[in-house]
Amino acid sequence: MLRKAGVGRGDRVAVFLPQSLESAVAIYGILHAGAAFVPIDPATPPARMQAILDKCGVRHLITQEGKRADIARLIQTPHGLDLIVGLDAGLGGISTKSWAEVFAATPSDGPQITDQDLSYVMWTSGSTGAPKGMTHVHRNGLIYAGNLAETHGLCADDRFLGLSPLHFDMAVMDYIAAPLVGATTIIVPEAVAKLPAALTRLAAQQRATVVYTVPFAMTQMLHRGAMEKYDLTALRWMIFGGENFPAKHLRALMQALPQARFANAFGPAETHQISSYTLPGPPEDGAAIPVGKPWRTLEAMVVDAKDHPVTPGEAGELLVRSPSCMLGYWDDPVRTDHAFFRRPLGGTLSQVFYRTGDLVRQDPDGMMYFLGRVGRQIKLRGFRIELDEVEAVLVAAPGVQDCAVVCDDTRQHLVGFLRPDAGQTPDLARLKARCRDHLPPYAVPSELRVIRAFPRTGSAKIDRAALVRLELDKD
Amino acid sequence: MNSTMTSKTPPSLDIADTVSAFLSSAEMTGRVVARDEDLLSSGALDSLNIAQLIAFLEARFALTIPVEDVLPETMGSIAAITEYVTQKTGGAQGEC
Repeated sequence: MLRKAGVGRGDRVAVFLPQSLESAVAIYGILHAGAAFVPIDPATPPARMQAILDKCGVRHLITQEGKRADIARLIQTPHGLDLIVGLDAGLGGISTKSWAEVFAATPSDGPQITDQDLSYVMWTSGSTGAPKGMTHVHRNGLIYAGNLAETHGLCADDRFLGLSPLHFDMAVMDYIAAPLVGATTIIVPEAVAKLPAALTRLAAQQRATVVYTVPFAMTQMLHRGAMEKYDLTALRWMIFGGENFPAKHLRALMQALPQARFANAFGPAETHQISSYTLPGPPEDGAAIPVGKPWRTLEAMVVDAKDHPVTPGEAGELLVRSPSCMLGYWDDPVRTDHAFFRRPLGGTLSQVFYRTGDLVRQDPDGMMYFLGRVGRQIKLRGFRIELDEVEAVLVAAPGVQDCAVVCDDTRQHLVGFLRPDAGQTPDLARLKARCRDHLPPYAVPSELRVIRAFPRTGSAKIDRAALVRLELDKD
Repeated sequence: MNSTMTSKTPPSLDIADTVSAFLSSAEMTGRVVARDEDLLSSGALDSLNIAQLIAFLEARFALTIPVEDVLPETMGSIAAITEYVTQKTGGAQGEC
């Protein structure tokens, strides 16, 4: 069907779907047609989605009836869409194909592609407010999936609890590693994923063996999942990544699932996962949990501010040279250039490392420890958020003089502090609505507060640490 | 609602109205939420405001909602919440 619509090698096709069987059909149909899939978070506001589709040159979109209203809003502004798959009837003069037609269609042959052809472009927050598209080729996902399979001994008897939406690179486990080893993926509907007790019930009913998700989701299962009511003895791997797992919660979860092994997965979506650490037992409070040794398919290097390797055991930025590294950010030569470090080989040749922005320490035996972020990007409940991007949205609003957004780690939410223009009283509800319109839902501050003057550091910068203290002292 | 409806508003309607007003408030969705809207799939509720919803229901209707009860069939729509609260309060109004 996509081939008949003119989709071919190297094209980008957007997937705007909640977790469903259709999402699996969509990505395999796109790959079979020789194209790359562009997953769009189903909660993305229209303006942001429009920016991604434009930038990526998307002409074909795969969705479902439930998204009709969102798409109707999207196409009110100029767009380049030729075909929408997943709608039962036409919309705004764009031709559509229903899912019934998709399932009735006879598959056609795909073009010949290589492991260097585009497979997916995943969009993430950028510090200037413009999203950036991590552009991957087939080889990248296959190497990532192969490393996961080897590390965890994944096999055809496994049943993965598929929690990662397509726009998370962890979805490679559910959508690529599972078919690679012949395992089953239980694609978890959004409604179930949001309710820990429903998730635990599904894991038990489906006899799930592997869970691969962010610590937040696992902590929710522990506290709100009614785990004691369900038989979860089939679980053999609990693999977490994306942020630190507080030791006290991890220990409690390990004690609740004594038969399961727990692993810490590590690596940015730009290179995909680069290491894994299997815990020998429940961690002590405050213990630093390693992120593992680099997988043997790649090279990790820890450097100082001048890109010189540090002495083993010292902290520095992690650079990664990996066969599963992205080609670059889609249509963004400047940020792509900044993302890479080139180590000269001789002549004009060089080896390319991705600058992770992660501050790590690597012991002489290769074991790595994650210490934090070099820049101002944070992780909240597994989502990467550029605080600068959130601030850019707020500062651009009329009546806002200055602002600072901080993350309250205790409450796990963002707080925006605003200094209004002289004589103005900002409409906080409207500002929040503005954030909802321009940012992914997880980057919208939970709370906005007006502040008459910002605490400042010695160099006259807004003292964000003082703001965090202010927030903590509130109660 | 039903043919035997009297001048007195049935409790379930009050529960639905109360829940509806709360979900439409600025701190929750900031928009009108339909009775049968799938709150969990439509994006109306995320994991943070589900916790706020539970806290609200417990306080407003003097209930204790055990974690194992927080499921799509009890919290998935205003209609489902109304039915759950009605059942938990034995059909009586939990005014406080």
